[in-house]
Amino acid sequence: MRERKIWNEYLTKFTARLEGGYLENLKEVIRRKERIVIKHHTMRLKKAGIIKISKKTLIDTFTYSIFDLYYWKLHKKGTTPAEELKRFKKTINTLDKYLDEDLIYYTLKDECKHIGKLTRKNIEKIISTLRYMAESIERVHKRSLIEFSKILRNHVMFNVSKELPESIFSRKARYFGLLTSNIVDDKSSALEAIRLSIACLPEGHPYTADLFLYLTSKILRIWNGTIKSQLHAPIDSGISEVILSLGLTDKKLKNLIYLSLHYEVFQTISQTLFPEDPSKMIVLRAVAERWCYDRDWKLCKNCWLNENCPKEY
Amino acid sequence: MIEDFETRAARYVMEWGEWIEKLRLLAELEIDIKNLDIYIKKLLDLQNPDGGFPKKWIKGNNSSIIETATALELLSKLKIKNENTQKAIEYLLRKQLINGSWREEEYIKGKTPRTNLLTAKVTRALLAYNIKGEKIRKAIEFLVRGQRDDGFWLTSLNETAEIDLEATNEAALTLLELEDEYLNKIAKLGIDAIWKWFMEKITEEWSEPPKEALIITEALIRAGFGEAEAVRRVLQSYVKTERWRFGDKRSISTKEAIKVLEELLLANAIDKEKIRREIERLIFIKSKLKELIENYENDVRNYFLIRFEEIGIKPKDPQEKILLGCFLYSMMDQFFWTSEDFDPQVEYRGIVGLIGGVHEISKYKEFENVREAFFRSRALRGIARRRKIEVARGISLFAEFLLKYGPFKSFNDFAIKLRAYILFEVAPKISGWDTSYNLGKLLRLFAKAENSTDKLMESVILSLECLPAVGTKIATLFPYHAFWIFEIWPEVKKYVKCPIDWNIVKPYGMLELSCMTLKELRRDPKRASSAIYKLAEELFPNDPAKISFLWIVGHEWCTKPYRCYGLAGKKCWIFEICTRGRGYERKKNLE
Repeated sequence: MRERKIWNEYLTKFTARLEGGYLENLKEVIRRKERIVIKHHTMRLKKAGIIKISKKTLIDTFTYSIFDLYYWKLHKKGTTPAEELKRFKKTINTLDKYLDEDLIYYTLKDECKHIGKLTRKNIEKIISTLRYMAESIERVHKRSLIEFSKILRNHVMFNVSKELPESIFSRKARYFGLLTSNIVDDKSSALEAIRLSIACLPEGHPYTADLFLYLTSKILRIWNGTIKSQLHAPIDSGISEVILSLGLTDKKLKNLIYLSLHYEVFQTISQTLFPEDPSKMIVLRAVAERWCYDRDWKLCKNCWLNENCPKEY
Repeated sequence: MIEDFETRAARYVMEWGEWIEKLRLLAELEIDIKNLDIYIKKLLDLQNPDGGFPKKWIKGNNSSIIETATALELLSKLKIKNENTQKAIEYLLRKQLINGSWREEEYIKGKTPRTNLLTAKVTRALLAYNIKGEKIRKAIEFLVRGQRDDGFWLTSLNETAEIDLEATNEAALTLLELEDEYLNKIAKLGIDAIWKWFMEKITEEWSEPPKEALIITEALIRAGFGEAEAVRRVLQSYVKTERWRFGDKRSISTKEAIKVLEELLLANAIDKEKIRREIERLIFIKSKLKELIENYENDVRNYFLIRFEEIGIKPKDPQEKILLGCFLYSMMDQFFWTSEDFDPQVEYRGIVGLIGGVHEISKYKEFENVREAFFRSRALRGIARRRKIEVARGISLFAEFLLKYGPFKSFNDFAIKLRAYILFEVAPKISGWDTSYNLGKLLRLFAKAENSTDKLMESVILSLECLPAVGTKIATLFPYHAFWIFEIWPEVKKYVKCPIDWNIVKPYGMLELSCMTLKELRRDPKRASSAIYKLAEELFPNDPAKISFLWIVGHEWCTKPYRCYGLAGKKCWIFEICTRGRGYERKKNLE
């Protein structure tokens, strides 16, 4: 029923283009440009000081993923998530410091130029999210995706669930339920458990979860073995605008919370185009950043996808 | 019949209002104190040992100054003077600050403390008990000091504080009560300021009165502006413009409704007698209903026990048999819509005949057995295949739980085991958005290790709702059957709720206890559920499920037109108080 709704209401143009073979060129360009995007992300992580693989890398990458959620806000102020993280890491340089909420608060307020200017409510959410994640990471002993996901799942299920304030919990109760139903026994369920666990956290956005998994598995290669085909492509408002311009969806995708209809529409597109690695769609984020989104006018001439874009904005 | 504003407004407050709001209205109407026993007892029971009344009227909460002042003012209106009022007065006097003001001890994050308002309210409550002396003098001095040159009072004495209309209203009223020329002059200055603000706001263009209008009308009326055109228009806007749709509780909050009624009564804009008559009728019906329910208490339980006995479940049967039998019977109840003559008893017997007696729990554990029985049952032929499979799964999972973890030593044992079973054994097998939501809430109760009886009852209901094909109705019906009728664990009776359907809602409507018409109730009977639960809590705080008396009345008489009038109608348990009964014009029941 839900799948039919996805295909009938959101993907009619996509189906027509796919069947007519008009998307082959686009796929090819995305495949080619992915290498540049991976390099670009590696540079960003290096700039933020995330190099060595350790427990701290995990929490730093997670923090970067949260900061990246505010990319468009930071971009307007002339800074980037990587720069903000670098400032943040000057003080918060060990895993223990992530557990000190007051220290994080004053670091965000004093060190980070722009993240510290978010509303108090948002900052409090970020702080508690970081603390919950740090508490889980502290218990990890092996570089194993399954072990990490089991630890995170248990921590979220039995500790976070009781500590969250009622107002936040009532909005997240569904994710807690899904997390309880999702038993971790293989890599696929482990990835789902991580996504759900992050969704349960106060500042848990699917974009953060998907970006965190993308960075840790494809850029930093923390986890052993390949899990490319089970990764989800991160989606934010920028990507949503690009796929609308590309004519891949009939309507703009606005509700991007985890497992919402719009989120699933995007995942369906990604999995149909790149079943072997849906996260390749992250290339669209690079397009949004450089040419397409949040600008006074679109810079289509130089865009990677110019020749394949019907410009349906 | 089109009822007038007064009748409907009074019924609205009595149906949806909190008990404290009802008490406020009853005190305003000077209803005979004998009829207010329930509310007064509830209020006095709340008092903390320090003399204060708890925050948000929740027993056990810390004492709050505003709640204590409100309680004292109410008790003074009811002319009650006893040890409780003395303790409350002492509490308030004890909490006064050196500068003469009062301030809540618990600081509410992000909210400016409204010192002036609180001081005015407390002073007014103390003056109602004729308290005089140094402390009152200091409080009045504080209020006088707090007035601005333009006549307004601010939220507090801080420089950044804003104009507080409610505080100005309260302070002016407090000072007016004192027979002192100087203080009355100050009060007059405040009222003039309010009047000026009021006139500025009310222009020709306004379509509805400003939100703040209601806050300040009391002072204006008391100061003699009640007859003024502008005030009259504000009050009339509530009566005439159909601002309230009484059939929908969302149209106005009961708090606002009470305030409006108080102002209207003060300005003599509505007929006090009419409201009093309606309230007295409601009180009479409720007390009569309570009496009837108590008289028929055993009959109600026997009525259900006989029905269960007919299908082979008796109170002396083993615990697991009763639990499974009640669960199966409740599950059958969800198919009532399949045909007009659907009888869960007949269908239950049919299913048991195909699977085997409910004492053979292992047979119900086998999903295939149950599924086959549901597919072979004739009566359930029209039901979707998927639904039948879900019901069969729900039953086999519950049977598995009984087999694995029964017998249970106590309710706590049952509830804790069921919660853990659902979370760790059933959760991986189930899916769906609503189920996940319930599962999440259940997980929180588990993680918090909530083991008080009320929380465990909540866990049982959530656990049941996680099972396939179990919705809110069945999750309420099962505890009602197992814990209230069979009394497996009598200690939980207090927490059992009566299931709500048309059978209980119709007699509730027939007694004219509701603002909603029968047509509105018929469209969605669940709309009345919270009002019925409120009524049950009010009549029987220790056993609210007793209200199921109305279910039998509905099932036996109200929903059967041929039995509701004539000779058969006279046998109805609520004949004497029903609109179709004695003393009312008979109308044929066509609904």
